[in-house]
Amino acid sequence: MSFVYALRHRIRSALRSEQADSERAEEYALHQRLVQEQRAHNGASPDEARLAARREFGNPTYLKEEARWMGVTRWLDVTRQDLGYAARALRRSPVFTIVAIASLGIGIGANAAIFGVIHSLLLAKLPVANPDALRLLTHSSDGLMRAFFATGEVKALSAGGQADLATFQTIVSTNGEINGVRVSALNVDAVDGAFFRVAGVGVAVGRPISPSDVQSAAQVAVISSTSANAHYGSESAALDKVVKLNDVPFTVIGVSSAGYQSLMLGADYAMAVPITAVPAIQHRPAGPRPDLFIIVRAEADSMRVRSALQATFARCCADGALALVPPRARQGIQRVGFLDISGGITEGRKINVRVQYGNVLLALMGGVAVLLLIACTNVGNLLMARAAARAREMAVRLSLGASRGRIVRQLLAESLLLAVLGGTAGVGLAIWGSAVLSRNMPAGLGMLSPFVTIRPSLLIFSFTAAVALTCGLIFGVIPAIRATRGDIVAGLRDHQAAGRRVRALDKGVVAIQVGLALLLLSSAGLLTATLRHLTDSVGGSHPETLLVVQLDVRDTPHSDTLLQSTVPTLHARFAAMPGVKSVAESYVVPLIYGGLPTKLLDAPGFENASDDQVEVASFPVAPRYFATLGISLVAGRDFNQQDLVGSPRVAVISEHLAREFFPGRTPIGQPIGFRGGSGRDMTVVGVVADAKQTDLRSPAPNTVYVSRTQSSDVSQRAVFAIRTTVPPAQLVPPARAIILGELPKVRIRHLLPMTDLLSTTVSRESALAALSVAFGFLALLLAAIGLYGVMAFQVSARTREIGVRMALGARRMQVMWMVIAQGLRVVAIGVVVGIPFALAGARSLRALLYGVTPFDPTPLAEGAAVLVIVGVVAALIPSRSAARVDPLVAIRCE
Amino acid sequence: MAAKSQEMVPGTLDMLILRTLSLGRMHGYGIGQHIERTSADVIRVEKGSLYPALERLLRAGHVTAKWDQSPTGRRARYYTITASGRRCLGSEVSDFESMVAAISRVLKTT
Repeated sequence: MSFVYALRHRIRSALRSEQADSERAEEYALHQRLVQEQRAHNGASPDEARLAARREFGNPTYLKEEARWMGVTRWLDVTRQDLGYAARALRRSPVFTIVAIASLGIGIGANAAIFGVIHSLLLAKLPVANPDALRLLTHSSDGLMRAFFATGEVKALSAGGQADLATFQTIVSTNGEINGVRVSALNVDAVDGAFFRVAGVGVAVGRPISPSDVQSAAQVAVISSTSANAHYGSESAALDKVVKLNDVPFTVIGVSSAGYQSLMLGADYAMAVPITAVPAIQHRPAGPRPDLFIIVRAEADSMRVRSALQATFARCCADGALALVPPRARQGIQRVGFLDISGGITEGRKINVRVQYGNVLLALMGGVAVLLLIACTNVGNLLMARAAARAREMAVRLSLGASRGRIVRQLLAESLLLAVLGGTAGVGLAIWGSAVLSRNMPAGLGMLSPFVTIRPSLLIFSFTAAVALTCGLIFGVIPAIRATRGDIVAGLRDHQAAGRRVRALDKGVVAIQVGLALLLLSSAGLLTATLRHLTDSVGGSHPETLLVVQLDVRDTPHSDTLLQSTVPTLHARFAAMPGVKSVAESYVVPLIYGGLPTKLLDAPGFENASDDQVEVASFPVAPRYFATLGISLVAGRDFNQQDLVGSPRVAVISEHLAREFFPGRTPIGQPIGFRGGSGRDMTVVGVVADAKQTDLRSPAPNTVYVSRTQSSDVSQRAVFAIRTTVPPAQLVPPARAIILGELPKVRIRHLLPMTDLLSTTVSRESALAALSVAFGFLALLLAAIGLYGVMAFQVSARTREIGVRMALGARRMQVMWMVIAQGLRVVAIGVVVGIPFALAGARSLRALLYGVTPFDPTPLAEGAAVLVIVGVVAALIPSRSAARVDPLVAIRCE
Repeated sequence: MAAKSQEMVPGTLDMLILRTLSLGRMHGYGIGQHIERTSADVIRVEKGSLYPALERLLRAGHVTAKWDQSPTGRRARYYTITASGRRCLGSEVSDFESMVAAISRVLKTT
């Protein structure tokens, strides 16, 4: 209870300090009057009585002050004073203030931006009603989890009636049209009648897709708020308009609520349509392929719902109900699982953004944190230099009776004010920068674009505020404490003494900066090396003069036999284009996602080897394929036009495979075959260099190339590699014209220079490498500024000493070298300090590296060399001003 | 008028104020008067220490203050002791008494 009284009293006097003051005045006046009356009563004259009372009572203002000092008011008052003083101090030295705020702003802004992306990618939840209750149904057997169900299974599960299920399917409309604008690929969700209710998706205007829309296969659509705004200018303007998907018209009946971009994480989503309308869009019946997602809302008791679904699913797997379901390996026990999808679905997508970019973002976060640390030490250094310059002022204050704590508080107020201003600048910079970035997303980070736009949110603000205040404390505390620790008398007497004392620490701080810069530089080196190694020998060499083409007749009026019979014509016409050196048909486009066809090799001596050991990639290629892609022939011969159906079957194997399966002997002429085939019916005629095909991070697969002219497979796809003598981008339009001239309705899945393919594949790595180089550069700049500042300060503090040296006969070069050598010593200490940092940083990057070990000395050595050069440059200007010291002036002015 | 006034024993003013208020609510002047009267003018309460002491007690929650009419019709700030104030008074009195007893034992020892 006493605590409540006490608190009430404090709050009252804090909030109403004016009133409390006047109350005190009234109370004291009463007291004085009562004393006076008492005196008068005892017989004193009124004047006497009043004077006596005043004398006795003492100074009322002092009493009031005394009472006030005890309250919170005092704290607030002092803080206000401190802040006012700090603001004046900062205004007095605008250059310092601007440099400090700018470097803090950049550091804090970068942190806020990366944190914003991490937040939206890894932490944010779906913008639907109660996302935590949303579950994705999965089924697993043999330890493999799948998120897709077939139509029959969905029917069986929802007929069970134990749970409120909804189904949807993601489709891509290759030819879309919104408000008259052709859009080449639209991501569309095909949903059932329960979807909007179960998923908790709201509509901004109009209505959601209803069960009756689905029943009647109505051609209606609920488009996303982003598409509505982009194509119609506003959400309400989109209502009742007609959009086209593969030339089929759909009426817009609603616009989903802002921010909703489908349940998939990071999808570029356009609209939702009834699932029953899919056959109309895709020109083919709803496939028997399992491609349906099932979502469940598990508000309460999700365990019970799951076990009920499990029972139904087990029953429908066991009995004839699954006659509906396509033949699919149904070994082991089918288990139904619930997946928490409150953050968005990542399953069933080619690339899991969260996994792909999660550790990249964490690495970037580490990079920007180190950068901010460097910026902090820079500001701290500047503050310390200021403190040294203000040593006399501090000494005066201390000698006039300011308490040490009070001065520390004042200096801290200054640095916290800086931190707040820097933080504000940082948030502004982050929001502006992310807006600019999302408008011009570099190709490398395309996957991330949905996440980049930073929406100002409480979480981001609190994060930035916490970062800024931590910075303020980091760079504020030490200078503040040091500033007050000096000997007052020495401080008053001698400015130089104070300067000398601070110097040792200054150098220490710069050495740490150099160390942190080394960390960022060597990381940048490792990541660039990774990028280089990744793009090495991908599907051959010299990607800069290679054009790849992939054609597909699936879902088109063309038949596969037509496609295959057109291949020779296309080949001839491609080869006839000016600037083409050679053309070869292949089976796979390098780097395109999708497994390579693999087979089990049957080679002499490996009859009893396990399947894993003899699994090799195998696909047919045409004559001159190796020459066209730049895969060098190591031994034997290429396929040629004489390898035909009927002639002896031949194979070309990769170098690594040759070493592994034919160690110490020549593989040429050896019979090989595939397990389960018709014996060893092929002869090895050639060995070629290893070439990576799909996965850049694993070594080139062991490959058995078979001759395309000997294989009788009829594929729905055709792949060409075209080696050019001109930049391949120039050949894209004529090649497209040739293709459409022969096969007007064919799907051109790829028609692009190999380098484009390569850069999209390594986008993550190249973006990371580019950013890490940028971070390294910034760190270098900040460290150079720090070094320059310290050396310049030293030279000015040692002017007299330098003057004496020169008067005694030191030459200018010697003086310059003296300064440069000191700078280099700081760099050397920094490099030594930085090596453990750099190694620790490299260790944490290990998951992202390829082809280099974290402890590779090369990037370290390169980083150190760059730092030494920058160190010399940074020390050069102060050294020149040292060399210009006039001995006479220097000695006289002291 | 006091023939001879004494300096306060340090640290006892709070106790005396609380003791005085335990008899009933009182304003600042009254508290000072009461202490002086009951000590037969031996203890003089410096006004410069009385009000800071009251502020201290307010902040500790041992007393509360309220503006009210005095019997002579003046507006005065009345202080009232709280339960925690009474507890504090009890423990301070017993501490003080044992200290006084100890001091006098020391003084009487020859």
